[in-house]
Amino acid sequence: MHKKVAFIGSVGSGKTTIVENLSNIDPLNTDVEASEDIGKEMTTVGIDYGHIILNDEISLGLYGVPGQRKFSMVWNFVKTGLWAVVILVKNNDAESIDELEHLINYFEIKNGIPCVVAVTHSDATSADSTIQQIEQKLKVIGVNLPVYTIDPRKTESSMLIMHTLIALDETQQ
Amino acid sequence: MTTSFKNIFKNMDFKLQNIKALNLTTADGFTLFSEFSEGFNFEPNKLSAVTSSITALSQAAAKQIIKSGFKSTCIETESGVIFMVHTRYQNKNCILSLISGDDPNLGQIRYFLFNLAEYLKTATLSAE
Repeated sequence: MHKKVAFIGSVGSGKTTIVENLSNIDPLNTDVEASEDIGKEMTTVGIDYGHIILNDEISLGLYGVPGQRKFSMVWNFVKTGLWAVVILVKNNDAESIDELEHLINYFEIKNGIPCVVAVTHSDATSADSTIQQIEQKLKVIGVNLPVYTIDPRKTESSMLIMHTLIALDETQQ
Repeated sequence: MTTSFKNIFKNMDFKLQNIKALNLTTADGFTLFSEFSEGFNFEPNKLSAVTSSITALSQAAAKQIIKSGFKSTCIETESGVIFMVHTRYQNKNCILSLISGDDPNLGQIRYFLFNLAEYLKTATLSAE
């Protein structure tokens, strides 16, 4: 069975990196030069697409979307037919944490879709405060989601998310 | 001699007749210049974001599927076309897009838009 997973989150949270890292195929990449200072040289304006075969029964289409709200047109066509969502949050980044509620509402996470929140960029500083803020925010929004720290550059760390999504799906069935 | 984007739009409108909009955006979707005909309501920033996404996908398709360089993308509708070409302006990668009138001549649009894209690579446009 082929399932569709979306990677969403603010600019620079690691969406392109995790798709590139997890994909079994050469991923489709739509990064362009950033013309404003966003803390990195390139930014996604279309879709990152990768593909991963988990086992004989399940393959996943990995869809990374742009972080900027102005590209919500792309969010709309990725949103259709989603099996699961991964929300990436940049450690110690207020904007990234604030964006969480908007994304949860936009992608209608409350409707029982398997979803994980993954905190990135936590190799230099502790993510404890970020996780605490996320958990408080989730409580206010009224959703109960697993929150992990991951390194999108590392396959083992990124795979943790995929296995969690499958476990969540099995629990919800 | 420098010209303005408004003049470029007027000139393009004269050549192609009844174009609806001409837009120049950075590759990451920030509007640089936008002109449109009277009575045509649209949000330039939305057009910039849309053309940025579509062109990036077209570029990725050209590169990764056909293994070739991107030249242009055209969306054909029941009432005209949106034609997008890659260009550079002030050393930035940009997208130049044109929304045609009801009865577009694709060959002409392509010809004039590619010429304008070439011109923009070395031009400095005035504000008015």
